[in-house]
Amino acid sequence: MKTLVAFIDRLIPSDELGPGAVASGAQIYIDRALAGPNASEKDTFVQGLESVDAYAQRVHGAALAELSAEKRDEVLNEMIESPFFNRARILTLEGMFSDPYYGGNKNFAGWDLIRYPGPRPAVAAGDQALNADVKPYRMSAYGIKYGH
Amino acid sequence: MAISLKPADVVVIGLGAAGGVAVLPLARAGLKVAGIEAGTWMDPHLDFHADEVYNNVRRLVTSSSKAQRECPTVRATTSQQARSAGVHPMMNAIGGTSIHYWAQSWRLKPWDFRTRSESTRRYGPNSIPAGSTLEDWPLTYDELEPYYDIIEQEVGVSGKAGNIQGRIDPAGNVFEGPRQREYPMPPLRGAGFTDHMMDAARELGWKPFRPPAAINSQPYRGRNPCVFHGYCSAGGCHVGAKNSTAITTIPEAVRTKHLTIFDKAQVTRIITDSNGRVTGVNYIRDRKEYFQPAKIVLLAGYTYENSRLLLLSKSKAYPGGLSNNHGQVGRHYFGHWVSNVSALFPYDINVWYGLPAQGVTVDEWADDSFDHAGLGFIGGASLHVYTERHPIDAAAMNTYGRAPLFGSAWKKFVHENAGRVASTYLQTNTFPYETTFLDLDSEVRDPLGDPVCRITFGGVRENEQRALQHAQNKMEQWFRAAGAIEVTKPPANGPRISTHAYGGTRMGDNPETNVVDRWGFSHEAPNLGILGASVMGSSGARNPTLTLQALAWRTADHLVKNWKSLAG
Ligand SMILES: Cc1cc2nc3c(=O)[nH]c(=O)nc-3n(C[C@H](O)[C@H](O)[C@H](O)COP(=O)(O)OP(=O)(O)OC[C@H]3O[C@@H](n4cnc5c(N)ncnc54)[C@H](O)[C@@H]3O)c2cc1C
Repeated sequence: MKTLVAFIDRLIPSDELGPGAVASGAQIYIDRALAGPNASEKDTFVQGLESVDAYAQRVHGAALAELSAEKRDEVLNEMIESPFFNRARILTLEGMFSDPYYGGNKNFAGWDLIRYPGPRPAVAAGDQALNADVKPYRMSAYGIKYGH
Repeated sequence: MAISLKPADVVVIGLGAAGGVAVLPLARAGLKVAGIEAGTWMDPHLDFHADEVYNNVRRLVTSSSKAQRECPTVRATTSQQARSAGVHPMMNAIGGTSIHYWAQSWRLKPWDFRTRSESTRRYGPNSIPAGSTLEDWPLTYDELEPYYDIIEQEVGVSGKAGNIQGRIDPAGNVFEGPRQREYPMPPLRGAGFTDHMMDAARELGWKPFRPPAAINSQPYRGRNPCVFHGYCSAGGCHVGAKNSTAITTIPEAVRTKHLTIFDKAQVTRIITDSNGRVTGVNYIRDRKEYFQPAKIVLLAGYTYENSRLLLLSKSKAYPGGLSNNHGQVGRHYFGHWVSNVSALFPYDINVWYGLPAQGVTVDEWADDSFDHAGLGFIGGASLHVYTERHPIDAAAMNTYGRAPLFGSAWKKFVHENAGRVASTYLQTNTFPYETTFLDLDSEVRDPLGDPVCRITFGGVRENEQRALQHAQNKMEQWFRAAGAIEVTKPPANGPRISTHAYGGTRMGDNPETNVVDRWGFSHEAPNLGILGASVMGSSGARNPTLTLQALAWRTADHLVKNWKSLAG
């Protein structure tokens, strides 16, 4: 988990544009996914995290979580072509931009980032106008309990 | 031993888009119909959600187990080892794939029914793609027109006519064949962006229009209109505006009390007697095996299962598989060539909401709408620009080399651009070839021990490649005219496995090259009918469902009118 957090924290960092992957709970989404619906890829994914740490240790002298943000960015750039990077990125995007029901996208930080106005019960013609400034509808498809 | 059940007049295997409409005319005629369906009823409240993870990432509406367990294998040529296609795109449910499809509801063009003779007449015999097994259909557009009309009314299709009995209306598709009357509902409204694209097409001198859809644009027969919430693709409709057969023709047939549905029941064999007539089907439900006797069997399990079940149903009369004594089962198969040309705009296009059937279509570069002399191909592709964009998919957008793949610079990029990408659906006129076919896999089996279907998709198809590239260039021209700053054209390739899979049990007058006759009944087993795009010998440049439903209704209608001679 420590390595995962250190990794996705650099994929989508918190900055002046708002919370990043960790603050939005993408790691919770990934953790739950690997425990359930994505269980079949859990071993491969955990091995991927281990090899990231092994690499960081070998090339930069410490496990990923012990490295500075700049050093972690270097690690990410060095492995950007790897299948693990791609898979971790996809799962992070899923966590950050999915319905908050799944544990990520806390306070709709992901949807705010990309300016997705949210699923609403009915969409008026005006909500589909070109360049419309659609007021975000911030509600989980599964009800208030999961975020609103 | 299978448990023998009370005989039915007609067994329909599969209550999807095709089987689900055929039951209605049969039940209305008072025939006792047994609908045997591997899936069951879906519940709009429990099964359909405005949720990208549920519908599109985990595919929970569609990942029903039987289809996945028997997912076909794929190879390019016979010298290769076929491998699992991975995911079967179709589903098992009452309503079948019409539960979660996009519901674009096209009629084919008169040209599609006569492509071989029309192309030969206009461009000479060498225009027919080398190696193709293309034949004219055994019926014309005019013969199918009344059935198109029935489906549009019974299922409910919204749209704008472009040609009513020869009167052309530029608000509709001026390239369509003549229709007897207007659609029962007006077309779905446009979105700001699709209206903008419509203007851009007009400026190019093209004739854009709002395409037809089996989606209610207004209340229809007691069902709700579309709410445009943006979770139509691969999801079911929670308000009942998507006219799957599960909420239209099937309940209507149930009301006649002549349709009995056997759900969660998988047909494993079609049984024949020594005279070569079918006598019923074996199916498995709850691990028990049943025999359902019937006077007529209609097979409607989707293209891959249609060929597979026939090939599995071997008997004395049909040693190489049912209705395969001419070796035609699995032949003339092909998957539809489709493509997404996407574009980035320098402003917010706001296509988050809506649905893939909401959009604008251009038909000038499809079919035979333009002169092909000297182009080196026949056919083309329809160009369709649509709405509905989901947040995970939007965030995973191409960065066009303008930003890195992660970090604050990436955040800034998606903040600005995630809402500025447009998608399209290009559908190519696709033809059958000698070296593209279905058979049974030699190794991979389903959990019942039966071989899965194997797809051999054959070599390079220059005709389709050129036709699609030509259309992709037109799409780029259209996007640029509308102000796009980036346009991405994927390689023009055919599919490995397809949601628009055609052939395998082709319809035609010649029993040497076709499995079913012009009415959809087997040339060999006279009381076996086949429904679905597996009977279609060419695709047209548009989705298949309205056509396969019109054909299914026509087959059922023919059965009702000729009951004595067909049922024996
Ligand atoms: C995401 C998506 C979008 C699409 N969009 C469009 C569109 O916009 N327009 C369009 O025209 N088409 C569209 N299509 C294609 C459309 O879904 C198919 O053309 C149509 O559903 C085919 O009808 P069918 O009855 O042959 O198969 P299905 O609808 O798949 O039905 C087959 C049924 O048979 C059952 N079955 C199979 N084998 C057995 C067996 N052995 N025993 C018992 N039952 C069995 C299955 O459970 C299933 O319910 C789309 C498809 C997908 C996946």
